[in-house]
Amino acid sequence: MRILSKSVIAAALAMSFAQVAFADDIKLGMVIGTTGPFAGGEAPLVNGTKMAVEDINAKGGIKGNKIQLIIEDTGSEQTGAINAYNRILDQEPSAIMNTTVSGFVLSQMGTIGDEGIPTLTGAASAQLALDKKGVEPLFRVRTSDLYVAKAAARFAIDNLGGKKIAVLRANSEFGNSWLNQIQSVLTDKSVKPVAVESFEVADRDFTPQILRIKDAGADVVIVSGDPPHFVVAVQQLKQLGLTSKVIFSNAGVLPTTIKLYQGDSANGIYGTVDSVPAIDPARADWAKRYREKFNIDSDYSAAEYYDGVMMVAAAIAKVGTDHEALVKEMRTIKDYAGIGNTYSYADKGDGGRSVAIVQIGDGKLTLAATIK
Amino acid sequence: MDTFLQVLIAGVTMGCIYAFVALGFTLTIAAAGVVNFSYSEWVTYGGFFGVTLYSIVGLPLWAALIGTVILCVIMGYVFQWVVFRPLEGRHFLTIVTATIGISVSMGALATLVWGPYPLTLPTFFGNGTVEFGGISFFPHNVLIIVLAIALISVLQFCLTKTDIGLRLQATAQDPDAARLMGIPVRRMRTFAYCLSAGLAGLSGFLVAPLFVVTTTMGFGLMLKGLAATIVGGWGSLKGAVFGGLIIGIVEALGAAYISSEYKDVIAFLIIIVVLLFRPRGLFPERIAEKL
Repeated sequence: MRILSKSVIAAALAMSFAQVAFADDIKLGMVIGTTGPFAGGEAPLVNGTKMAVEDINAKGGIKGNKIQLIIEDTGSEQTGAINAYNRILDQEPSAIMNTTVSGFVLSQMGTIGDEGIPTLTGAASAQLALDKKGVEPLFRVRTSDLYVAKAAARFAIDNLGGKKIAVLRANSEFGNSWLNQIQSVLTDKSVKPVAVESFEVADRDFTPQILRIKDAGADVVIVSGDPPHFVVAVQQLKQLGLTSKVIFSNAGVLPTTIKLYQGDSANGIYGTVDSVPAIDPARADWAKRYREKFNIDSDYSAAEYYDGVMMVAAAIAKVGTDHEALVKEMRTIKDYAGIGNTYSYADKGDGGRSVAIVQIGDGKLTLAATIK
Repeated sequence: MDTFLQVLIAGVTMGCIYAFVALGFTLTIAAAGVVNFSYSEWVTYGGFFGVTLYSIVGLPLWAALIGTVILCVIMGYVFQWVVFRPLEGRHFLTIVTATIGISVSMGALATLVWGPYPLTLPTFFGNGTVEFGGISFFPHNVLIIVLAIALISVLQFCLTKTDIGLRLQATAQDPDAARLMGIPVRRMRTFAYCLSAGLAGLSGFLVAPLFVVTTTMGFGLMLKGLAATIVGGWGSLKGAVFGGLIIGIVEALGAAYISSEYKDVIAFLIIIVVLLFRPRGLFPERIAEKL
């Protein structure tokens, strides 16, 4: 009798534990800069992630389990990014939405590989590809700089008819990566850049660089940097009378950056993006909901983090929360059409491939070209 | 020649901005012997106060400028009560560490209050440019240069020729002796903190249209201001001005005529050369010996 009762109690306990596990929240970690210089650029990623989590939970979660989002701040610093990743690991998440700063992700790479937790990032450096420094559990929810910077260079030559190309870029991993990709396209097309100028991240005056570009007679200038750099560039390009066509890297055409340009000074400037959900009729409903929720236009990076959470949720629904099974499942994704991009991870796929060129006109963006 | 002048004017503008920051930074060193590393956040808050008063409260730009300076002076007053007074007499490194900690906290608070997105202010003269003799100017940059010259002249005159200025200098050089001479040392220090904070507010407001207001706006400026202070002479107001101008002009000319890639290297090489021949800076002050 005693043996029977013990068995009943054990079975009841086992069942209750199983039930608790089933009803537990699924933890989704997020390592992101909510303070410091990158907080502005990474805020849309938090928005996109939160929106996806809310959408999934509103539909009852994943097989009845709600997603619980846990955010840790990198402080926009490299050591902060490593520490934040480790703090998230202590919470035992099923997957992690990671920072978009390439240098930070590179410094976390050993831990990401060792822990084997699916980690999604919007970092664009070509170095993060699986055939370079990337690892199996790292998934890019973005188009690699390999394609974006090259698309800018191809657009400059093929669409704008540029013959004298100049590059003005931040002296950083991001800026150098852009320069390398642009130069590889120019070399293929037997074009030599007429000027290659750089600025430090803290610089707010580009007069010498712009004058050198002007003196070199550039007909197209490609600029890569962060939002404050573009605000300075817009002012000084106009002040110094540069008549060349101008292409900005992604941060120059973010909705939050466009609001900073004075008057019509940025009219006619082009910019690279992965996609433009705010003006894409097929994404109108999503973009409208985003605008109502966060009181600002959506951008591709918010849409891509939204897509990332959706891909993770679909994988969990299929194989559960075991990290190894999740990574394996996500590595089978091919041509997943999301809001912000179309993603492939199968066959060493490197995430998104879409690149679009937009043009600024009176504070709004119009699609100028889609680069294949 | 046009290019040279254009670059020179850009260098002078940046030099004046560095000098503005270096001046406020130097004031607390000169008057209270305190190296205030939270000064970068004072400048940043100047920008944020300006944006709040202009864009949210809806004040005209000139009223927003005055309001910003007043708010920053109040901030300086509160700081000397809450932070600097309890730290009086402590080791130099204790004060430096405390101000760095406050700086980090103020940066995080700014993100909470004003959000993570960059903000900006318009200029007094719109975004048009003025052509003169083949040189193109932003009227706002001219305003910065004119204000810098006026303010530096007034400060230099007040600090060297007026009673209150001499009292401030006496307080900085030997507070005990100054106290024995009947100088209200504490009041003098309070005055220096408020003046320094007012300058930070003015700097933050003036550079906001050029730099974009972010939580890190003041940090880069303070680094250059610190470099200007070292070149000019630790604790010397005249040195802060010349140090700022030297760094601004060397950076611009280096980028234009040597390489934009190495312009910071060129600027810091100049600093090293200056310090090799004049280890206490161009205009050494007695206060430097005490820190």
